[in-house]
Amino acid sequence: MKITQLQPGWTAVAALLAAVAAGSSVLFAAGADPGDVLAAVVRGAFGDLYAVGETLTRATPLLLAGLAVALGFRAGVLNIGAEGQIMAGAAAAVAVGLHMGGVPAPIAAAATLAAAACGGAAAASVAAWLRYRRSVPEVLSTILLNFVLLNLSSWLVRGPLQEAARAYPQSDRIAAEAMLPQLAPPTRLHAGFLLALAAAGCCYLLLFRTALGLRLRAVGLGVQAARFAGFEPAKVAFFATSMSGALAGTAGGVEVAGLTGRLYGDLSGGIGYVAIAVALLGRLHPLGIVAAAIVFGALESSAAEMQRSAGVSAAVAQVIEATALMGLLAADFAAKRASRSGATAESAAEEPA
Amino acid sequence: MLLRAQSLRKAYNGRAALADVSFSLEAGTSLGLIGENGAGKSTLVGILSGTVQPDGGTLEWEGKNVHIRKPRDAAALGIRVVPQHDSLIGRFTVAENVALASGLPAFPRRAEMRARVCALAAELGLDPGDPDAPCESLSVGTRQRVEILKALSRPTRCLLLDEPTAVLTPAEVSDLLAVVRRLRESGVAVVLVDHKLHEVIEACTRVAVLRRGRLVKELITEGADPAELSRAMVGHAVESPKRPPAPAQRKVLLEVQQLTTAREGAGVPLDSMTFHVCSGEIVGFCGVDGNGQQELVEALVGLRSFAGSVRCDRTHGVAAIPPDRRAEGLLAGFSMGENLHLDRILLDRAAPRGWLPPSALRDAAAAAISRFAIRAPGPDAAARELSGGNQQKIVIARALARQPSVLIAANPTRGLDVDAAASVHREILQFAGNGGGVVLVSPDLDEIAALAHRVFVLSRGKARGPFEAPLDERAIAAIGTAMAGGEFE
Repeated sequence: MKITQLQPGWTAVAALLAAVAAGSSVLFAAGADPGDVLAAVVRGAFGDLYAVGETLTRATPLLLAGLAVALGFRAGVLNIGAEGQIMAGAAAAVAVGLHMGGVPAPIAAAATLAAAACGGAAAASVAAWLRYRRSVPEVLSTILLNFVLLNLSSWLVRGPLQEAARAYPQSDRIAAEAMLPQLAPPTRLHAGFLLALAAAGCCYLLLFRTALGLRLRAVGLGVQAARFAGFEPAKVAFFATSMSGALAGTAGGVEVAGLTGRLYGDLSGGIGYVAIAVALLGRLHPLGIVAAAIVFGALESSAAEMQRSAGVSAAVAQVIEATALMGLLAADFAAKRASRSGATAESAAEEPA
Repeated sequence: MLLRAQSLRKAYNGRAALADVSFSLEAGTSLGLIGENGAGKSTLVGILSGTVQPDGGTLEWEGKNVHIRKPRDAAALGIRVVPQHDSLIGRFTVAENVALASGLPAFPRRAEMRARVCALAAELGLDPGDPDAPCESLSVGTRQRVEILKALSRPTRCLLLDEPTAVLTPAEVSDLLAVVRRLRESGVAVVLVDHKLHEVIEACTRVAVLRRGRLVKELITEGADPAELSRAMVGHAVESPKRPPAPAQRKVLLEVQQLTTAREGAGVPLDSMTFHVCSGEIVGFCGVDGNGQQELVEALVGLRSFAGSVRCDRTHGVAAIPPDRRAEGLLAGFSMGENLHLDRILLDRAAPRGWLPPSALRDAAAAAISRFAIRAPGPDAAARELSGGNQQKIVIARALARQPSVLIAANPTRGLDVDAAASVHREILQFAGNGGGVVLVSPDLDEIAALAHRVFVLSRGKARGPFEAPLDERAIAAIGTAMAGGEFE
């Protein structure tokens, strides 16, 4: 069976295996034993409770941001501004969370996360407005807004939101009531992971079990067909962009309320870009994205173990991530070519009506 | 013998597109290649032009075995192709497009390019109009003439024309057929791919009929019996649809007055169109594509703002078969059930609280499969797994599910084979027979003449006519003139 005939879900797995193979040959060339390294990866990611906790902790923002990217892509909105929207969400979460002292814990946490979602949605809505009122391609506006939002947050932690002590460029800790409960101390795993899983479930239901989801996917697959269906593509895409921003913002909020408690200038640390890889590797399917986020979370959490026990630079984890994505794009390309010749076959081979 | 093809075979995903096809072509002759959609014509043209690799079989060129692996190999032999959809660069002028095809010097001179086009055009008797006009400003017919000039700007032994008449007005068709005859007389071998018999018989010395990937008949055109060829093409006799008598009771369902749209992009705005559609009536709009068809359909279904008035029986309204099935009619990646709900009203009906259970989609698909005899792998199949005819049945099923009082059917049989087209026609006639009104928009004059009670010609955004059915020869001639943009009495 040719790789081009694999089902879309399988191409993702094949790409991942190819990436591991490619990564191993790089390691081999560098003089390390690939077997040792792989064992270190598995041990570092799933070896004990702490490792599992760390893997899932790292998967949490990737999952939320991956869902954000996927929801946009499904509606034909190429939102690559998750990075900036994460920061917008984190900043909003801190701004609200700081004032939650004395509020009952569940309400405080909910308000903090709601603020994060609103912050992300607001940031994405700027891009949506530019797209649907002023015809600025969202690919450009979202990536440019990343620079704006990242610099804005770095100004915030040096200005209005800087800690009272004014020592470091960071905010004060948000109120303890606003923090998410820890799930399995001493690991860092927090309730944000459950929230992310629930978000994946909701995205699945939205996309595949509601009329709105059908509209959204229709707009993503063909604007003209959606227009003839009376779906008003601009409105649907506007909604998808805001939802996408809200999910990315929540990813930032969860990082704050679950882990850091504070806002830093580099809190997002590239999660918003890795999320694009997660969304694509997960085939833009919420359940696939759960798997992809855990795989990427595992790679990141095992980087340290890899360095310690196999003596390989942590950067190798990033190499494998990048190779997986490139392998996936190659597999996509091959699959598309195969289906294109299949499409010619449909028009060429006779089939009685 | 210029070209001899022996037992050409090509299969896609195990389905044979061409099975054991052999034929030969002599210089100074023309071969008409006819067959329904999907009979293998495009595959054969692809093999000869180097874009498709056969699975088996041999090609001989002047007695020697040749392998045409890429378009450049075909070009080196002197095989020129005029594709179905032109490949001109819109922003470039006629002269630039032609010069681009025939090889440019390092510093091309405008005057030289222009002179070359004019000389070529005069020699071939093909008028491309102003050689300095950008190609995007030209009509489809003119663009095709430029494409032919492009092909013939280099020494040509064999010319492949892939369904060249589909987009032309009757006058342009007869001009094109005359060019084919002249080329043949000058020693070029011409292959004319077509699905209209009378055109092939008029222009070709021999005709070959393809059916389901096989060459089922090959004969000299002189004295050929069109009915026999037609049977060979389809495999059985095809009943032509019977138009129901014009309704006696004239209840107006759709009344359009002074419909005018604004200019938008490259389209042609509608210019004060006035017409009405009665219950049980089919009103046809024929005309070359790009004369306001898209605008008319979009204005009638409410997707385009307009001046004037469109009044329709409000309780049921209009539903449409959109002009472009693949871009507007349905989504190839959606399942049948999802495509059947690709409509605001139907979707709201199926999901009153927003929840759309998978069973609703599957039930709708199953119902459509049995009601419209759709051939599909199963009720969950994606639209891309269906043939064009079955896809169009989904579009029709969806339009009829709204129980509209008026059906806008735009290009309803485009790209469908004879049988599929016949079943689409039956649905349209049945809808009209049950008291619905139909607006039939089609560039196919034969289709309009067979179905419509009244015919308008769409030309540069204006409706000319009406012509009452049945259309006699004088009416057909007047329609042809109007389609070409001319005046008629």
